[in-house]
Amino acid sequence: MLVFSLLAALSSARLGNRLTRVDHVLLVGIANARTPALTDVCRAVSGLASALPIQILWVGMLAVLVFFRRWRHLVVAIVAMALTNAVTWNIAGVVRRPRPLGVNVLGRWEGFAMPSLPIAVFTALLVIALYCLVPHGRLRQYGKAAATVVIGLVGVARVYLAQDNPSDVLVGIVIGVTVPLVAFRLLVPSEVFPVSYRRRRTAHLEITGLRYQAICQALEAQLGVLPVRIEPFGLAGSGGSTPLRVTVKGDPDSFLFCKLYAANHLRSDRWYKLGRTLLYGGLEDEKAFNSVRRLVQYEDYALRVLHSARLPVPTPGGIVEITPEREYLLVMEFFDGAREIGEVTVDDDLIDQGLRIIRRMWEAGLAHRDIKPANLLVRDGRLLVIDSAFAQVRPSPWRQAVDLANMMLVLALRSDPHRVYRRAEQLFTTEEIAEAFAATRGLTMPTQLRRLMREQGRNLHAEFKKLLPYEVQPIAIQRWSWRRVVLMIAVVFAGFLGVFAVSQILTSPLS
Amino acid sequence: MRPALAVSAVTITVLLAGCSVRVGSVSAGVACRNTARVDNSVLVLLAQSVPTAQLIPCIASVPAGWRPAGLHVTNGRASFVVGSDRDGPKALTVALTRTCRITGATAVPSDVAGARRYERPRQVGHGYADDRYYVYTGGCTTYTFDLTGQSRAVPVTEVAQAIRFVQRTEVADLVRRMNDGRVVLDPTPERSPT
Repeated sequence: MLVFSLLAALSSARLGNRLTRVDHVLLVGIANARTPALTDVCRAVSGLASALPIQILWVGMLAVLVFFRRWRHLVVAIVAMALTNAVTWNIAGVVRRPRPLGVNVLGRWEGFAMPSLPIAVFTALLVIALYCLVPHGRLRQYGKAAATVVIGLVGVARVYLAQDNPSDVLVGIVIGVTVPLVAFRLLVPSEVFPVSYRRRRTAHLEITGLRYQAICQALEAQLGVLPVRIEPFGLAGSGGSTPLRVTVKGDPDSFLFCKLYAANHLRSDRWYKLGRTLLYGGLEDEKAFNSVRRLVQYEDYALRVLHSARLPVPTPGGIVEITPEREYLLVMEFFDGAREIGEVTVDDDLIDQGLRIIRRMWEAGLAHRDIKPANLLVRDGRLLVIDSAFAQVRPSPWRQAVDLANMMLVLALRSDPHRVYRRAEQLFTTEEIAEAFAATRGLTMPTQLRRLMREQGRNLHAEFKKLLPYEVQPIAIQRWSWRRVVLMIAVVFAGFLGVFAVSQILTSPLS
Repeated sequence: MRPALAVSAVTITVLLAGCSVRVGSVSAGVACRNTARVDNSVLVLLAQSVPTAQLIPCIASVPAGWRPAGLHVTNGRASFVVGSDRDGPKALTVALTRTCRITGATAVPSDVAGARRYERPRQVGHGYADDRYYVYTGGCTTYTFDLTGQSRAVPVTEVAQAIRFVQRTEVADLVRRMNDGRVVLDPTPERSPT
């Protein structure tokens, strides 16, 4: 309201002239009190709001946000700064106020005076830095006080040097505070998007504050369970959701395993599928989900299908709605006491169990599509399969073959290929095993599996192929289509645009 | 309710700002006028950019087919561009500075009272490129012609006549009139301690 009133006043010639006279009196008084030493000090202070220091602070802040993967803060920061710049420039074009009259101007300036663009940008930069880099609470309050002092000093310095009129500085400060403050409070509220310096995966949401309470209430209201504690679980092996272990009040207390899905997981799913389409075309159904609800419904359905096919998967517990259309919890049995297959000794019995799981899936017309050590647990000698997010009903023979090969590779990690191959021959034909290793290579193996094989320095894939009675030709996985070509061109074009956009963003907000 | 109000305020601000005239797209702001109107603020800003310049360039009239296309004013330098639909978007750039480099330029009779004129043609084949300098007390105005059309140097006279010079004293009088004599353009000598 203050800005609007001032702008209305300045647009009126009579009121504008009155304000000019008031500013002039102040400036003349300050100019008469100038000393060489004070001028030098003010030049140094005023230099904080010049192009280079602002750019250094700006780029540094963006780098921190990128490093800690705070993408929402990053985008809002860029938009808020651009908006501050645009609003200031445009208001200056309306008001068209000259620089201070009747006094020597001792510093650099550019364009019309009202509002002061360097002050607006400098103020916006400090406000954005506070909301992006300083956690909410007492620390931020101290930061606000410090920023107020710095902005005040820079403003006073610019008025001393007559680079701006006093009212130019005031309006610049109001704009520099208002635009980013509104942007951050509306779009990045601290309660929902806290400033944190833990470098976590973007898939892993913070389970604190309002979200924690909402999960507790939803579990109680929709499933009738009373959560005692909710904590992240198994984060290392998870990239597509936020896995949680919920302790449920009982006698004794029990556990539920939940996967929290939100809009960022939906975006990740889209990017993942886009990446696979670009890398090897539409070999499988790579359609992205349209909503978080559908994403969760699919995994719940897949889990139920696997469970009804008597596969050793968690018992489904249903879907809990946390925020309509935005956040959902997939609930299932928690395998208390289970360990990853990579942490146990793999004997013949476990090998047989793993191979029988694949055989059972083939018979049921199912594929898991993400067989890796993190998704195979062992409890009391029993092999269990988790994470049905990628499961498929009536998969292609190629996909079923890949499942077999991945299972054999995982089992061989903690034993040896000869042993696994001998056991596999009892459940699968030589042709089926050969096809499995012809179909599997590179991208078709989960990242964790490839990484573990690299760490062990073993080319298990090659070792299995040597055990086959004949050489197998790799099955081509590249599929070309017009859609893939157009997508590739679009990605390259977007890449160039992105480089251009980044180069613009990294220039000083004052330029 | 409060978020809705905040969004509305921001939206209105942006819309208002969007309706405004940016410095870069000023149409008549560099016009030579002699009335006590806010629009003369651009002339005042140009005078402030080079405090010693006794002549300030401005656009007296815009010939048909030409249009002002940009304004950039900082301490020590002010420039504005006049574009042509036939001879290019930056057909003429007028720059006001404290001094000019006239090395290699040829002195020619001046058409501006109180200023010496120099010319340095750069290209006369395809299109026409030339630098013209008006050097006067306390300042220098450079005309940079970059005509890309078929007419070569023919439009030069037409557009050059559109640019006029205003005495600094006229601008100072303007400022005094706009502020009822209480504010002046330049500091008086006893008010200029640094």
